[in-house]
Amino acid sequence: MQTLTTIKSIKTQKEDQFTSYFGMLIALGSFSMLFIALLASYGILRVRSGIWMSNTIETMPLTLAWVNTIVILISSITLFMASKANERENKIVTLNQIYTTIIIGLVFLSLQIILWNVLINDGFTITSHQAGSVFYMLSGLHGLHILGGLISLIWLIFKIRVNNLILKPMRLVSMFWHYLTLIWIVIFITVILI
Amino acid sequence: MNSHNEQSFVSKYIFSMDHKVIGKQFLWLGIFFLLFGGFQAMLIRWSLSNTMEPLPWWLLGDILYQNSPVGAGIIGPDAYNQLFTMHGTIMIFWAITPILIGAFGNFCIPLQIGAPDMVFPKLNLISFWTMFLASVVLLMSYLLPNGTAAGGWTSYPPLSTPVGGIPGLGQVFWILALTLAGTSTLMGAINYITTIVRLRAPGMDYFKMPLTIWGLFLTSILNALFVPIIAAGLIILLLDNVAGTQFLIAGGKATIPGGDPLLYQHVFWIFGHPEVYILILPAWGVVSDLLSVFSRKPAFGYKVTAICMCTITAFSALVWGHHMYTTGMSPLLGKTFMFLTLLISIPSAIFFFNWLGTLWRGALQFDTPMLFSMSVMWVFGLGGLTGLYNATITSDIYLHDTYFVVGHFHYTMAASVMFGAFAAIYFWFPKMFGRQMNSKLGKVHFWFSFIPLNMVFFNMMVMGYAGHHRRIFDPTEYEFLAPVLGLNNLMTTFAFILGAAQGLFVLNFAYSLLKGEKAEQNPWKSATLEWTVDYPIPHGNFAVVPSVYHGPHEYSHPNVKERDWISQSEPMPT
Repeated sequence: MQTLTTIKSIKTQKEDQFTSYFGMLIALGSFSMLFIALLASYGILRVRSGIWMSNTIETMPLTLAWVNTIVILISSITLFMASKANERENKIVTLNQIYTTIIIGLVFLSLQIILWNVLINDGFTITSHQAGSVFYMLSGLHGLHILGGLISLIWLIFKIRVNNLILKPMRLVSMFWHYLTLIWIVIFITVILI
Repeated sequence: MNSHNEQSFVSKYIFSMDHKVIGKQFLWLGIFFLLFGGFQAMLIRWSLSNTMEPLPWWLLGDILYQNSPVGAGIIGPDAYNQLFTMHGTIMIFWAITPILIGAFGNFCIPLQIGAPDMVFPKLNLISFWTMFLASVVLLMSYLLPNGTAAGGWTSYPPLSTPVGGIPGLGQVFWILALTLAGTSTLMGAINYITTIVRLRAPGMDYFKMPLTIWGLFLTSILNALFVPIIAAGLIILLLDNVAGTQFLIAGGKATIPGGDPLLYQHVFWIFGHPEVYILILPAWGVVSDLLSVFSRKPAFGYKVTAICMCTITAFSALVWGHHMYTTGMSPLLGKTFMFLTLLISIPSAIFFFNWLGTLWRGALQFDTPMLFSMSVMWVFGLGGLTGLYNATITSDIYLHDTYFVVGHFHYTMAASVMFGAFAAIYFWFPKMFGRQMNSKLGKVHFWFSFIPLNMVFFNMMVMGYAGHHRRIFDPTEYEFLAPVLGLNNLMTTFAFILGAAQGLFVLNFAYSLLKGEKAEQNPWKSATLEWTVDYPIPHGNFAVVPSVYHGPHEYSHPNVKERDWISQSEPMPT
């Protein structure tokens, strides 16, 4: 009887977790619709205006953009390791990996600001060309979401410190963060590389 | 002790996580804005038939527009633009959305599917207060020196952009308020979908859910998919307004080449057309259920109705171009949009006939909710049929942006949804507040709403056919409108009657809330789950999780002997 209740409670707990992931998936679907709409608008504007980034900037700081992409990929890896440590119920490693992720996230934002500065000094501003408007809009919006992600990571740290069993919020925040990594890669490829 | 009480008051009635309380909060907000937007409609009507005349005292002429540049108490052209812009915005996003989706979505979903609460109660709480914040931002825009936004509820550029647009910060406030309202709707949608998918009581299959839930479910799916699209449009519009970008500006005044005002129209209507279904689907669901309750027989073709609603939901995403026939789109594209739009009439007609089938040979009971439900059939029928003329390119090119379109969408969106909301309020009032609404006053309210409403909205279409453009300030200036000016004045008179009749509703609502007759547990003898619990429903709803044995409309079943209904949670006797 005792085991039966335990099995049952584990089962409801899992169902409860799935419910939260389901809600998060819908939310990420909504975010995707937002980015799809903006990327489609970008496509239309790009076709209409004829000239694009490579035509307007003398030396595109591609190296910096590549470094930034790798940085955010690393942040996803550290957060993934935090998740794994969390599943093993290793509190210290989990916390350390989340701290690392936050630091790398901040590095990403700083590099992003440096990238903006390099471009602005090059005369490529939000009002100089449609390309600039699109680039700053998309990267700015993504940056704001990263900021939101960082806040939820800090919230996660508080959660872990208070209580050990935090499988659900850990997974939810991870889903959001990995999603933002994916969005950055899409922006990087569509707006900067192509 | 005292402080403890205060705290519990705050967490019980203000920052509550109980879906029923949040639903009521949305209801208050929605009714406030319904009256607010309705009053603006009165001002619009006054201005249309008494252009540049001072407002009378009963339209608050001594208080409003005292600093108007055209004379104290007079609505000038700029003020008129602001009026119709805010009337549309408020009615769509602050009246219909909170009442049908916010209030009844929150109230009905957990109760009708047998769930203890919404799946994410905290998110629900945040959703309401985001909406509240949105309302504050919206109302603050009335205090701006240049007044509110004035580019129409669609806010097409260039009217809504600083380059060649209307001066002032009104548009920025409009964008911010709408973004917040959209965020609130989105949080609600995530909550509703997850709740319906995950928290249905044992036995409550998808095809045993009340049609109200079907309507709200499909609405939420559309919200989750398409509200982010308008968010994209709003971001672009906001940057054009505050950051100096020119995404949406083309032509001589553009300093950055490559902008495109049509981009906004596409983005807006990719959201905007699903939005009209977002608004109407809950009303359809409510009406489908209520017709069955008050006909005392099962909803005719229940499954087909649900499937038709799904089909319409899918189609609604593919037809946005029919709002843009006159933008010079390729004829091939136009024809495609026309074809897809006309296709929607097939599922619409099917479920409309299902409504008639529900009534056919029913034991009709003409209670107030039934009267409003049946009137939805009438107004939606008219609105739907006139939609065909707007969907057909050849007639739309003439009718585009005339009062014909205004009449059409007032029939479909305003009349159908408002009457659907009234039906829902009269129907669920006993479960929400434990008292019955006065039925005599309710019926007077119905007739004084129904007849004047048709006199106003039908004649709008006549005026539109005569050529009245939807945003004309002074109809007397146009020779071609001279023959219909009498109609114009008649409409205004009936609009005032319609407006005054809503006073009866407020009176009835307030009176019944305080002094109404105490309601029984199931005053309408309805079969759905919310009527199996006593008022006041505790936080957590059901003492025991109900088991569901059959569909939501088991009325007059031959196996049930002593009464003509059986609740979904009672096993069917054999």
